[in-house]
Amino acid sequence: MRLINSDKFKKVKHKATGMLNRVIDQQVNLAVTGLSRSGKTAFITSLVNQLVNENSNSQLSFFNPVYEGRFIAAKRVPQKHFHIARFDYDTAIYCLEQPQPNWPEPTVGISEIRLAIRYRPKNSLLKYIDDIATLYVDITDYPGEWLLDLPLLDQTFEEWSEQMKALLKQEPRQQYAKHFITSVKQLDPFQAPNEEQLKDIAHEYTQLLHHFRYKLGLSVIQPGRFILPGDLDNAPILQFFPYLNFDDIDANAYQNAGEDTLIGMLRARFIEYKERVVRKFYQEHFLRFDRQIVLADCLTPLNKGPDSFADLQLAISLILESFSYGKSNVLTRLFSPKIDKLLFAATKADHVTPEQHDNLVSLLNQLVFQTKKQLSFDNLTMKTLAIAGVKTTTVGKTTHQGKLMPVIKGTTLNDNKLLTLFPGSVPAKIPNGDYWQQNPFKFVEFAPQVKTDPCQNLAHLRMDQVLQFLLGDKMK
Amino acid sequence: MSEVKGKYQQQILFDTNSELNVEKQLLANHQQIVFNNDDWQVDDQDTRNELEKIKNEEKLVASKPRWLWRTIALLFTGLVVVEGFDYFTQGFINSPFTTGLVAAISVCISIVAGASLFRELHGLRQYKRQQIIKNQVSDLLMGQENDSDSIGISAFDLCNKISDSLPGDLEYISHQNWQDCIQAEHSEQETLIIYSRNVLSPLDQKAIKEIAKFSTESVVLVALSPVAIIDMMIMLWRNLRMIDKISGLYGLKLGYWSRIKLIKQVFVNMVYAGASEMIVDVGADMLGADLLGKMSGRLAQGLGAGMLTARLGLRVLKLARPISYASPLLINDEPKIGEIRKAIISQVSALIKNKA
Repeated sequence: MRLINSDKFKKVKHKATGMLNRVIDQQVNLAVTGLSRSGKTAFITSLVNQLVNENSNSQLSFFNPVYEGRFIAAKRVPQKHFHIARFDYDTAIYCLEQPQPNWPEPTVGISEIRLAIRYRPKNSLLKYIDDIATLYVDITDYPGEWLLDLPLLDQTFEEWSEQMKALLKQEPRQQYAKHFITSVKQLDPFQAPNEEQLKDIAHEYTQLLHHFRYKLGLSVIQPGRFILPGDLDNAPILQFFPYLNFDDIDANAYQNAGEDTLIGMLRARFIEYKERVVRKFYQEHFLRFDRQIVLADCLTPLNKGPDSFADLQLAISLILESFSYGKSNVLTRLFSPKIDKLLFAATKADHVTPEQHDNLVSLLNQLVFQTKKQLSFDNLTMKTLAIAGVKTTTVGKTTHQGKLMPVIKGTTLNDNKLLTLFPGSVPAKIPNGDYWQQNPFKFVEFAPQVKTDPCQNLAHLRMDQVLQFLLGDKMK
Repeated sequence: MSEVKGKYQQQILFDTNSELNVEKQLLANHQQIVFNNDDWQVDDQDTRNELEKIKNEEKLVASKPRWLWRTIALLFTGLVVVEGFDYFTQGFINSPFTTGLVAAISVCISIVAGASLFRELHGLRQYKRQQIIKNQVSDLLMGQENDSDSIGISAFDLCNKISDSLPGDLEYISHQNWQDCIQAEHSEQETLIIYSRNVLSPLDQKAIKEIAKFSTESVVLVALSPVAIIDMMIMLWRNLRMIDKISGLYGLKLGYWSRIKLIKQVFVNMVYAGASEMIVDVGADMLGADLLGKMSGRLAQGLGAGMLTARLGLRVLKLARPISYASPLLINDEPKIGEIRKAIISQVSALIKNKA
C-alpha cells in the first residue's frame, strides 16, 4: 500500500499552488496623477477599455504580452475598498460611444477600479508554479484639484500664507486679487472672530480661485477643496484663507494667539483642514503606489500664455514632491511601497500634427527637468511620451502655397463643426518672450471620434507604450 | 539635334548673363537692403572650409584613374577578340576538327562563366541594396528627430521596399497586418519597430527553427561520425546549406564579401570540430575510458559543434535581417542562443528516447 495515493497528492499540490499563487500574485497600484482637465478620466477609461476589450483589432503592438501572444484576457473585478465609489467606466464609455461622442463628465469625487489581467508568464518564477498568472491593477481616479493640497502637508499656516501672498502679489493674479488683499488688510488679527465676516472673505477667496482656474487657466490653486468641495460644501473647515500681513504682526503674539482670536481661528481651521481632509486623502489613496503616470496638458497653457505656463511648471514640481520614489524590493513592497517607475505623458498629442510630437515630448521634458534630475538620483526608471487616451483627430496632408503640409481633421468640441487645420508648431523648449509675442500656436479642442465598429477599442495614441512601460515588466 | 543643343547653350548663356548683371548692379549701386532674418545662412570660415574639403574629396574620388583601367580592359578585350579571330580563322583552315572542339568547349565555358558571373553580380547588387536599406533603417532608428527628409525616404516606403524583397506569400499576410497596425501618427521609429515586430519576427521564428534543425543535425552527425575529417566535411556542408537557407529567408542571396566573412566563421567552426575530435581521442586514450565514456564524449563534442552551428546561424540571421536589433525598443526582441539551445536539447533527447 502506498503512503500517499496520487489523487490526494494532486489535491495537496493544487492547494499548495493556489496558496503560493496568492502569496506571490502580483499587484500594481497605479497612480494616475494629473491636474484637473488634463484628461485623467479619459485616460483611465481608455486604459481599461484597451485591456478589457483586447481583441485581434487592438492596436497594441508595443505591449509585449499582447505582441507575444501571452495576454489572455482582462476583466473588472470587485475592488478592495468597499467604501469608495466604483470608477464609472460604463458611463464614461457610454459617453464616448454615442453617435455624437462626448467627453466624460469631470470627476468630482474619488473612485476606484480594479482589473485582473490573466496572462501566460514567460520567464519569471511564476512559470514554475502555474501556466497562467494573474496581475491585479488598482487605479484610483480623483479630482485633479485635490492633488495640489498634498504640498500643504509639509507647511504651517504661516508658510502657506507667505507662499500665497507671493503668488497673489504677482501678475497675473494681482489685478484680480486687489480687493481681497485690502479686505484682509482691514482685519484685526487679534480681534474676536466674526463668523459671518470670515465666511464672506473665504467666499471671496473661493471666487478668486475659481477665476484663476477657469478664466486664467492657472494650475496652482490651493486649497483644492475650495473649488471642488465634495461633501464639505459650506462646512466651517473650508472657511479660511491665507493671512497676508504676517510682517505687520508680532510673531510671539501670533504664536500665543488662542482660538478666540481671528488669526488663531484661521490657523486652527487650516490645521484641521490639513489633518482631516488632506492627510486622510493622502493616507487612504496616496501611500501605496508602485507605478505612476503624470499626465500633463501642455497645450492649454501654451494657448493661455506665459503665466499659465509657468504656473503649470510650478504645480508639477509641487505635486511630485508628495510622492515617495525609489527602487522597490520585496520588503519595501510589503511594508512601504515606493514608486519605481514614473511616466510623464504629454496628453492631447492628437491635437497637434504628428511631426510635432517630438517637440511636445522635449517640452514636457524641460518642464520636469529639475524633478527628473532629483529622481534619477534614486535610480528611478523614467520616460516621457506624447499620448492621447482617446483619439479625436485623423492625420492627413494638404497643399499650402505649393508645399505639402501635415494637417489634422476633427470635430470641434464647441460648435461641432468639422475642421481641418495645422495648429502651429509646438516649441521644443520652454518658450521665451519672443515666442509669446509671435504666438504661433493656436490649439482647438476637439470632440472624440465617432466609433465605427462596435467591437473595436477606443482609438488611441501610444497607449500600448504606456501599458508596456507601466505593466510590461510585471507580466514577464 | 544640333539645333536642340544650340538652343540649350543659348539658354544657359542667357541665364548666367542676367545673374551676372544683377550682381554687378548690386555691387555698383550700394544701397541699403534689408533682408529677411530667416534667410540668413551661416557663412563662417569653418563651414566654408568644410564645404571645400567635401568638394575636394569628391574630386579626388572622381579623379582616380578610372580611365586607365578602362583603357586596359578595352585593350585587353580587343586583344582577346583579335587573337580569337586569328586563331579560329587560321585553325578552321588548318585543322577544322580540333578547332571545332575548342570552339565548342569555349562556348560552353563562356556560358557557364557568364551565368556564374551574372549570378555573382546579381547577388552583389542585392547585397548592396540590402546594405543601403539597413543603413537607412539604422539612420532612421538612431535619428533623434523625424528627419525622413535628410535620409530621403520615409519609414513607410522603406518597409514597403523591404517587403518587396522578401520571398514567400506568408509575408504578404503579415505585411497587410502591419499596414493595419500603423497609424499616421506613428513616428518613423515606431513604424519601423512595428514592422519589425509584425513582419520580420515571424521570419525570425522560421529562421530559428531552421537553425535549430541544422544544429541538431550537426550534433547527431558529429556524434556519430568516427573520423575527424568526416566531421569537418559535415560541418562545412551543413553550415553552408544553413547560411544559404537563412539568408534566403530574408530575401538575400549572399554576395561575395559577406559570404567570405561568413565562410571564415564556418572555417573556425570546422577547425573546432577537427581539434575537438583529436582532444576527445587523446583524452579518451589517456583516461583509458571505456566505450560508453567514449560515446558520451562524442555526444558532448557533437553538442559543442551543434552550439557553434547555432551561433553561426544567429550571426547569419543578424546579418541578413534588414532591421537590426540596435534600437532600445527592439533589444528585447532579439533572439537568444538560449532559445535555440533549448530546442536542440529537446530534439536530441527526443531522438535518444525514441531509440532507447
